[in-house]
Amino acid sequence: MAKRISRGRFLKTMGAGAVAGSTFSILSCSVSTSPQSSGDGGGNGGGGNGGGGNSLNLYNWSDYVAEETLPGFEEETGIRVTQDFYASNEELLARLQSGAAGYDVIVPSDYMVAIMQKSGVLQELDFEQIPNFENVGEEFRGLSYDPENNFSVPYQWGTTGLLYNRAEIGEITSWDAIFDPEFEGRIAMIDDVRETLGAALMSLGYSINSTDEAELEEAQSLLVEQKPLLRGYFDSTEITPLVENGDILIGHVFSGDGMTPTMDNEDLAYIIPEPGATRWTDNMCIPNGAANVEGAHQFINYILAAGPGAALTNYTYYGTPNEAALPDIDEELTDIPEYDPPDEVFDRLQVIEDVGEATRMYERIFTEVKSS
Amino acid sequence: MDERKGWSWRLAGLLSPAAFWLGIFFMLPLMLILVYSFGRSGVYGDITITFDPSNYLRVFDPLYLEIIGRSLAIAGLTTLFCFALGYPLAYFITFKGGRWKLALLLMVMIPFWTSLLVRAYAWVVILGGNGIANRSLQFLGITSEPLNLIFTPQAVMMGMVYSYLPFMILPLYASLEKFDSRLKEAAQDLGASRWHTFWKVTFPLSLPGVIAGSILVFIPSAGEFVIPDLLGGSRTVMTGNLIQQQFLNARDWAFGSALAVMLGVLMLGAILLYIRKVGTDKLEGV
Amino acid sequence: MEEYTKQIPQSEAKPDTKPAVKLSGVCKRFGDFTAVDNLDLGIREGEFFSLLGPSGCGKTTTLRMIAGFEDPSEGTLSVAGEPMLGVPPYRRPVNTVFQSYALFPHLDVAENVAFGLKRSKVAKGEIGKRVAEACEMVQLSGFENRKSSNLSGGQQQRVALARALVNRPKVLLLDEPLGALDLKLRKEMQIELKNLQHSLGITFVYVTHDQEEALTMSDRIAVMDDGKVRQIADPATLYELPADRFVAGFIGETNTFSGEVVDTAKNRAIIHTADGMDIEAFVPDGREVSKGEEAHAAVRPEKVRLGGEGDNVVSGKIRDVVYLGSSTQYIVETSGGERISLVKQNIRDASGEKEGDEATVAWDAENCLILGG
Repeated sequence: MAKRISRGRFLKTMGAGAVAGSTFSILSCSVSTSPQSSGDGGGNGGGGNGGGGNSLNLYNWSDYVAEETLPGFEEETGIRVTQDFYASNEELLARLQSGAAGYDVIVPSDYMVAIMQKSGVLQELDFEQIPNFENVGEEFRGLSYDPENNFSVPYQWGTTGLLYNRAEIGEITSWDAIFDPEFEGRIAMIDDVRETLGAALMSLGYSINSTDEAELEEAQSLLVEQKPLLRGYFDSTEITPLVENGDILIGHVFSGDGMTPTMDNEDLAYIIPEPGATRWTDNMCIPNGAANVEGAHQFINYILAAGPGAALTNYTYYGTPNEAALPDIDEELTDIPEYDPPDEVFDRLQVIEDVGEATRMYERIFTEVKSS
Repeated sequence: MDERKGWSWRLAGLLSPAAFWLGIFFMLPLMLILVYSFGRSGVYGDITITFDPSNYLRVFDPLYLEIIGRSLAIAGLTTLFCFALGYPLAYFITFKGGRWKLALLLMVMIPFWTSLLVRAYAWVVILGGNGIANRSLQFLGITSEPLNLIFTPQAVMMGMVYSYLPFMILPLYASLEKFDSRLKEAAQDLGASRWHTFWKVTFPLSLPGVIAGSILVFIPSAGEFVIPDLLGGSRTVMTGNLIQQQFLNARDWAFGSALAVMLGVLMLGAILLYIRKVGTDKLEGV
Repeated sequence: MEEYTKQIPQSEAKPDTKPAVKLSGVCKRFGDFTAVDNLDLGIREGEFFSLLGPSGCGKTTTLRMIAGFEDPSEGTLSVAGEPMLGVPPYRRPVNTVFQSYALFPHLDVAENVAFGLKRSKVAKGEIGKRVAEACEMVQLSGFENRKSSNLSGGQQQRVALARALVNRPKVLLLDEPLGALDLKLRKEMQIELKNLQHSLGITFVYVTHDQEEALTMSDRIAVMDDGKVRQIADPATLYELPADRFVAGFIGETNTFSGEVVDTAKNRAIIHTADGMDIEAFVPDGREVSKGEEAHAAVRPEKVRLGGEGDNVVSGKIRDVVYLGSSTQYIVETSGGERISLVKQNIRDASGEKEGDEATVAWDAENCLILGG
């Protein structure tokens, strides 16, 4: 008679095996969640493996390339681009840290470049492959988060302000409107801890990078008071259609999302509120683990050319750091002061920076606000 | 006798791949989360493995407890509504469906073939200021101005019930289908009216289905994060949202893992209580 | 419960009291199919009444109409004098023992039995008492806390019985309740049921296809075929004086002869069969035959003798000898090809007749009955 195993014993054996196996594998392999410096990263020139050569993986914000950008690149270089999207810098970082490999070009915002560099997710750029870098305007080179442009090259820049229905509520100039009970239920904010908490801080006259507990507490109460007035916290791109169809009267949006509807609709307007608003710069970087490093450089170079640079802005309505592209920007865009703010406005703008340890505090505050 | 009990080596062999699969893809991630929950997260998202239970202490902060409590409450309500809506529907299909039974079941299942995201967005459109709901109400003269229907806790509730209803209906149907209608006659013969027959005979015998359906609805809905975001304007924060934030935004995997473990333990506890109350022997019929 | 005896007590039904169940002109149609056709039935109070017939004869449908699970397509139906049209089962003073027992699987024995009592709002203390009584009545004391899945077929059947009887219905309906039991158990239960009915005095309406069972237990039997009632009578009458060929053939064994009437006298007639036999038969009161008419005569095998004298003597060859233990059956084939079955008690050892032997068979006219249609 063949020996028999009782069901209980079978399950226990399997269970113990699984537990033992998993524990062993967890403990034995590298436990840091900093990304794999996989063998196919950095310096693996042409050829590479898998997606090298003829294809490129672009990981970008949604709706951030013009219609002709990618086809134009393919025509010029023969490289086919596939695009994947993320909705926040944090999401981008989390993906890279969890070991998602294969992205060739990513587009993080300013403060995130600093964080990524500290986390070791980025590889250094080879400027021999990016001759068009000379098109980048002076004021966009060597910014605080990457003083020597070792890892990043500017892509687009913009502000974060308010898109509102001036036919219904008249003209506004400051953040006060989004805290006004008169507009209850018709206000929307961006679901981003730095932008939204930042808006509160700046409306109180504080720095957007404050780590002062008292100031943060004040900003928190302001937001808690505001919450009942809100429709909700959304992506900037979701807010624009809500303002357009009248559900929302005042929306917290990025400048591109803000200026696009105002082109066709006289009733809507976008402003950079007083006393301060954010100015941000998105950048192109190459992460570790990129499959097609050569192609990535080619792409960066392509974007920095005058034509593609102008085409980008004409589509997204965000600012271009590309001086050579300026002449080709659509006139209707250059007419808008918000597009190219005069100096006194420009000086009011603040740049988000990494707040280090205080990030936890920011997160916690935002969670408290959202669940209040 | 020894020959009867237990499995032959061959059977064990056949089962091993499945057990192995479960071990790797189910147990391994669970173990990972458990290990992480005792770790410590750096500011930039790296995690060190130690034995630090402080993450669990953080969970007991009133802010987080409130969120967890709210999630369990919403999950409970969702289960209740799914039951209230799903039972009559399942009953109707089973006993009055006749030759339409299969077609009706298909109609319950078809929404599954569409992505949840698409269906949730459909609700955003339907309930929007200019959506069908508001326009019909205004057309019928019931309201004169658009109501605030979307991005409210009520919209979240409706979205949850809508998504999870099939999980309740199908097990209920399976359970009711097995019901011997001669028992109904016996009950009526003994003096039970139609209502009494249902309450004392049909319903108790359908309890295995009720339990299965409740569990299938309660567990996933407690961890739901997509619907509160899409339909609630991110204003209703549930544990799922909290955990998602920890992993994606706050880069605090250790804390996120502790939250996840906490949620799991609580749900397990809730279900054990539920089963103890309703009776495990009922599960045999599932 | 007293020891059950082998003696079947006589019916104490009073023929002239109000009928416990009355069906008049009842028809039941399912689409094109007529299950019950113009039924007239009067069941007396306290009687053990059986509906007997082959599958599909309409007996179960009739029972279900009395119970209230079906309504007649035509006709009237009353229980204890009250008309029952449109009255649902839970309002009728009637309880049913189902063929499949239909015990509630989620309740134990005591709860099953108490089910009807709870519905009729009997006081709590009283319920316990009556449940115990009922269990004792069916010899299931001590089983109160068992789940029905832990019971044998016979035990389940008793629970079904107790569950119905505990409500003291005016009429108890039983739908082939013993069908799933083995032979020995079945015979025991038949006697138990009969004694129970007798001691309780409740009217039993019993459906079965087993004629022996019906004969054993019933005060009266309605023999049904194809939706119609063929004959209603007590067992002895049914056996000895069947109304027609169907009843004669269905109840017990019989030899039937068909032929033309050639002579008649008081209570007597002679028919001439196709193969040349002249059979003298008994004509019961109420039946009339005239010369020249076609008629049928039946004689039971035990009334036929092997060899010897009688009003009717026929010769032939022994075709078959079947040993039945207490008796032996002989099949004798006449020169005309007619097969006559006879049964002989084995009082002495086997008499030595074997297949192929020449033999004569004889029977008396008074045992040979002229049948109606």
